[in-house]
Amino acid sequence: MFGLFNKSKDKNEGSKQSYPEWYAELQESQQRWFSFLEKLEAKMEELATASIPELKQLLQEDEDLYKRTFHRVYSGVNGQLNNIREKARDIYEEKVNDLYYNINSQISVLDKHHDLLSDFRSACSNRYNEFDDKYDYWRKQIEKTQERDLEIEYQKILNEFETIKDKFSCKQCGGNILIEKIFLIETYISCPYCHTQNTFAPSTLGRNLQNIARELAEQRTAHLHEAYENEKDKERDLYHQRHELSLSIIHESNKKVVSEVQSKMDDLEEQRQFAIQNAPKLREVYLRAMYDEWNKITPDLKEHNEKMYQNQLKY
Amino acid sequence: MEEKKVNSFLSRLKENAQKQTNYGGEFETTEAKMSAKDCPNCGAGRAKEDGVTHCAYCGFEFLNVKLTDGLYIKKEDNSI
Amino acid sequence: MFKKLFGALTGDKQENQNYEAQTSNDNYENDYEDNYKEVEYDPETLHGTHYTVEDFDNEVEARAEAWIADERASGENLDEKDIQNIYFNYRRTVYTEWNNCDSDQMIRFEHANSLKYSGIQTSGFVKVDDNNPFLEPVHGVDLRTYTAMCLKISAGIDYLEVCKAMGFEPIVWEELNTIWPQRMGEDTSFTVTTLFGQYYAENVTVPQLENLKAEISEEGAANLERMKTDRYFYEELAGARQAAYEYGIDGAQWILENFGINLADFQSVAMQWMTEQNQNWNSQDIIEFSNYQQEKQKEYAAKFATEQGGNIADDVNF
Repeated sequence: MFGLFNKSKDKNEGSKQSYPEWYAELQESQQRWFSFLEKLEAKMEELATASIPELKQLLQEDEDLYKRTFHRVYSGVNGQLNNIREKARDIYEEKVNDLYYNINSQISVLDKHHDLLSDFRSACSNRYNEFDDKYDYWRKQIEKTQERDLEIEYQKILNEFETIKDKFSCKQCGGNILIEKIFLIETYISCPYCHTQNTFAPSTLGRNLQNIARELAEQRTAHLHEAYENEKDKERDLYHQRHELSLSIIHESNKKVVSEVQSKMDDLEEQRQFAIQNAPKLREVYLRAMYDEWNKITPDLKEHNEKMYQNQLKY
Repeated sequence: MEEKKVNSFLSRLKENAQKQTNYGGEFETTEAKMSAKDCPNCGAGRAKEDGVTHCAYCGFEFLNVKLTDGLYIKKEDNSI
Repeated sequence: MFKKLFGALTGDKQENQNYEAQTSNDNYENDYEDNYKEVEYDPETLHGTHYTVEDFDNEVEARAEAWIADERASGENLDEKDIQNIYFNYRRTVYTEWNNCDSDQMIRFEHANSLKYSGIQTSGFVKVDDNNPFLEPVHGVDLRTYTAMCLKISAGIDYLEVCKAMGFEPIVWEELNTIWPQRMGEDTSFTVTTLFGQYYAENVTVPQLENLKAEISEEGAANLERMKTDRYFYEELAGARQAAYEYGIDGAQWILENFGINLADFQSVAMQWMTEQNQNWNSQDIIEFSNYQQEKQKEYAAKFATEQGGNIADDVNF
């Protein structure tokens, strides 16, 4: 943890007395900053590990159609996570940045000790990034508690439909009216015998099909979405790999080495160009499959969904 | 000690979330149902032949709108 | 001043400006203020009246195409989005140069022309086009009436009551409430959505619904009135509402219980301030209000935290 200071000491050729008087303050602040973040990270972990099982259970138990109790608790847990993050941000401003600028304004960039100051800042900010990564990790873990297997919900809707579809009769003549499909909202159904216009109102469960349809279709095609995302990320990756290689030969004079690296770079560029071309194709594959699933779940929305699909292709 | 703080916070959060009133009140779950409207004017049933906006027998106005193509209701459902 | 504008039109603007910037650094602010006032803007398009829209569009096109040709010549692969961005940036440059204006004026100009240039509507600038198929009434109910119904329902009035007042069966409402949101999704210019928001901000009503009033306490009515006229009060409530959510409290319900304002009225006022902000874009005000809201949110957060026995990381100190 204090390797940084050892390194700086070497630069000062072992003469401990030559440290400027503000150096002790930097050291102390850095130490405090590191242990402060460590404590906050422990809190985050504690919060997340305690709430994740609770949230999962709440989602299961929440009878409300909109799962409002679950969402309130979920939002409160995220609020605490945010609170921890804000605390880190405020302290960073106050104890790290302010100290840096304060000392920076007193010494010249050319000062032989200036690197102590920049090292302080980069060490603190690297540690801060590490904290932020952990925050992201826990936030995502908590986010996952919202996911539920929609196949189960869907099956419930299908089962209900099977049991009720032939249980209705005309209010006028009493003739049997078969419900031909899962209606998403109220509809008029005319009696096949006396032609009276009856009004059919679907159950709460049946109406909910419209709300879960897209997410269910997305769950079913998640692997295709992932394939697209991976392909999309390749472009940056390959770019960086190529960039690294190009830096490695800046001072290289051996022509053979240069040409070898150059050919590797060309190869990476070719792969990169392929990824650039291929990613939109994979996106289209995913979207088509997702909309097909969606249409299977709610055929009544197909006309609208196809328009949405066309729009999404364009943007 | 540490453990306690998080746990007591969570249980208080849960307790408060459970006892809060939902905006717009409780949501009633309903079963699927069938109904039919008789004409309030002449008492006849609502017949299919002449659309859904007017009574086929006495012309009473069930719906004061001009139907267009919606999800299930179509323009053909207008009474002549 | 006129020389300056003339310079801008003839293309030697750049030199003039550099010269001025060097010689009159001290009263740059004043200089700028004077220029700002002297440009006359068309109230519809917000273009300066000292040039034609056609000239402007041609200039942007010429510069953008030159840049695009250059990029392509050097082997760059430009897609539709890149090209749009290039045009977007040149539009900003040319507008700022020709009108010698600040970025707020430029943003107001962008808002006023967003449909023309980017195909997207901005709240506060939507004009209703009678031939727009997305705005055709659904089962005889136009968007304005649909919005009025939505307002009543989110104000807490039972949808059955609203249907009865409108004179139709609930089945029609369910159709409306399916088709209008579908159109909002399908319309890539966001005209339907933006117009819905504008009507919402106006708190529109129709004669059939005028007698349906959501219950509101005397205090609630006073708070609502204050929220409409006092931007700071609105920001305070918005901050409080946000803080409530962060402490596991339903913000909409909390506002109703503590200030007597229902969700429909709250959202309507929020839309009203947003529209106002779009129309009179002023970055300084925007920052000020946003800071104020954050400050208030912190205050309320502290209050909610105390009620819940503190935040879990309160005992962690630097």
